[in-house]
Amino acid sequence: MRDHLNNKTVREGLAVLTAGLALGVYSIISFRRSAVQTAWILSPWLFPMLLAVFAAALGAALLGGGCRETAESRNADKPDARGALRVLAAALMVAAYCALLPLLHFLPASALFLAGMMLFLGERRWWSIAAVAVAAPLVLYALFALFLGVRLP
Amino acid sequence: MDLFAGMLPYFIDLRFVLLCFAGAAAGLFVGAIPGLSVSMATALLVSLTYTWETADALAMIMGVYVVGVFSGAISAILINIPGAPSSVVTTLDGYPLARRGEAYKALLYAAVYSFVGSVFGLLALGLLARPVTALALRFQPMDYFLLSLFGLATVGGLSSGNYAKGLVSALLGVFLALIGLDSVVGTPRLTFGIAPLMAGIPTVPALVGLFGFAEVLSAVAEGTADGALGTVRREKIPFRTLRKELPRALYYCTIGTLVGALPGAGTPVAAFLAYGEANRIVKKPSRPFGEGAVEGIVASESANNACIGGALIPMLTLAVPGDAVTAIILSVFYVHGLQPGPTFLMRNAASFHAILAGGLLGSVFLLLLGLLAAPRISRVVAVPRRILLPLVTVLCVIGAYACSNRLFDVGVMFFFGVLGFFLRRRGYGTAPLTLGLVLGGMMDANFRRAVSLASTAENPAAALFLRPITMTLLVLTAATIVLNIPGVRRAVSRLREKRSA
Repeated sequence: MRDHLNNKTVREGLAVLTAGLALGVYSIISFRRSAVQTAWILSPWLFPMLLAVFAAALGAALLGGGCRETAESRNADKPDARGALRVLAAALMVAAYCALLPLLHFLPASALFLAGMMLFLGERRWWSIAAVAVAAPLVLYALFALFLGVRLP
Repeated sequence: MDLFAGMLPYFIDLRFVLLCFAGAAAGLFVGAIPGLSVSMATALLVSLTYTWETADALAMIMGVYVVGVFSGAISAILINIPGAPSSVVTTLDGYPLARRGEAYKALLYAAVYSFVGSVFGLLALGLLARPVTALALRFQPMDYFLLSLFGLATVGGLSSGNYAKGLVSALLGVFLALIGLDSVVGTPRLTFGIAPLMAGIPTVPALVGLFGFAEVLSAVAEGTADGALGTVRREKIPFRTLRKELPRALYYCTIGTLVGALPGAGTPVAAFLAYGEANRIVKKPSRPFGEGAVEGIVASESANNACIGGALIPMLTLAVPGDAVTAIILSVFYVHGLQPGPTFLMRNAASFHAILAGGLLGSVFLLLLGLLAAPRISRVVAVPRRILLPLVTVLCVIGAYACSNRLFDVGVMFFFGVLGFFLRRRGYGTAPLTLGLVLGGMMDANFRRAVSLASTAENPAAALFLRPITMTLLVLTAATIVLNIPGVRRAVSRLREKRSA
């Protein structure tokens, strides 16, 4: 049993099954509490309820499939800790960039982000970093904001 | 013959040809840049061409439309960001091919078969407008629902080796499409009190996240960020090799034209259906599907461009647009005092011929620009990934923000990027989620409309299903699902082995 629970596909199957059940319960409760009372077949909650049934069935199918998976295929998907850390760092940098956009405006925020991200990804030539960080936001600004009339953050 | 005679004056009108070329060049530019879309460009053109002659406006708009639908494939192939939802399927094989250093080959096939698709669709528009419209008119809400379900059931099998995972991804897409104000009753659904979600999940930022930002994260995770993609080599592909796909392409074009003629179905459905058919009928692809099969690019590109002609059929004859761009083109007609509808072909034959002539000229420019300009644009893949990835991220942010000028949309892009990254990592695929997201709203509305209509009939089940079109779609959908169940697949392959033995 513990062996099965260590299998990611089994865990995902359980998650989909639980999500399906939760969506079903949520749909029924929302239908009952709905401010606009309609027949069930006209209700906005009919389709989510159908999805819930399908999700539960697919969750069960994933569970079954996961239980049949061989140890070999399970080991083929070992997590790469370094890769995960890199992704987390990149995602945090993008989140910080999005947060800075309304504070700093597009040009300085993008220049900072481009320089930081290029450094993070291994670019070490300072002239290259400076050129891209300065030129790219200016070119994008000219192209989108001035030429195409697209608003930038 | 009358059709050609009607178009001839436009073919020899230099002004018309030049305006169409200007539109085509703009379409190439708009489609190739992630974040800009054909619908955005067409919408901008509506205001620009307000004071123009109708024929001039139609020339430019058809140029943008035809080439813009193709050029979505350029970014799909080169940087894995589809310029338009119609090019989502092209990323499945186009990008893997580009990563092998065969971007030129992918672009060549995309350009040639987009041209084939466009010409096929436009000829179909000219020749078959009436019969196809008659068929589309007979579609009931249940048929639209089943057609969408068939699309989802097909695409579920395309994403990965695990059918259940593909369907989970599609289901997640449909679920996300249900978020927002309900279109029938008008009450909020699944918004959890978040005000910007009342309008639903914005599709373009979601697509930019799923296909742009997710790719950036995947590249970062793989640790390939330090390396650069190989330079694009111009390779000679004999015409004999290129034309081999033509018979199958004509079949995909037929799918594209028919799907395009169904209001609401649009280019992504056509591309997905054609790709599913390619999976089924091509026994020995040049490479496995999803790993750089040119047959996949041919299916996607010929079908989505054939949709153009198909989508114009209900727009011109019923005033019901087939997709977003034709909805905008419809407004061009209103601006110029024209009234599309059943009498349009009789009353406005000149405008009908202008549309056809503009589309066919646009197709020729598509081929020229696709063969001559697209490979030059492809130099972007030679940029080191440590420089390209940050730039793609900034483009993703711009593309997401430009849709509605809301930072909320940038957040949506970020969310879908992370979601797409995890879905890919665990083999769920992002293509089924995309189709679910695009079709979910239509499925919900049509299903409820069908059930509601049937509930008043004497025999609700008969009212729902006992129609030839419905039965056909139902059988197709059920067969697709059943034949993809692992146990059934194993039994079928055992049967095949026995037979061959």
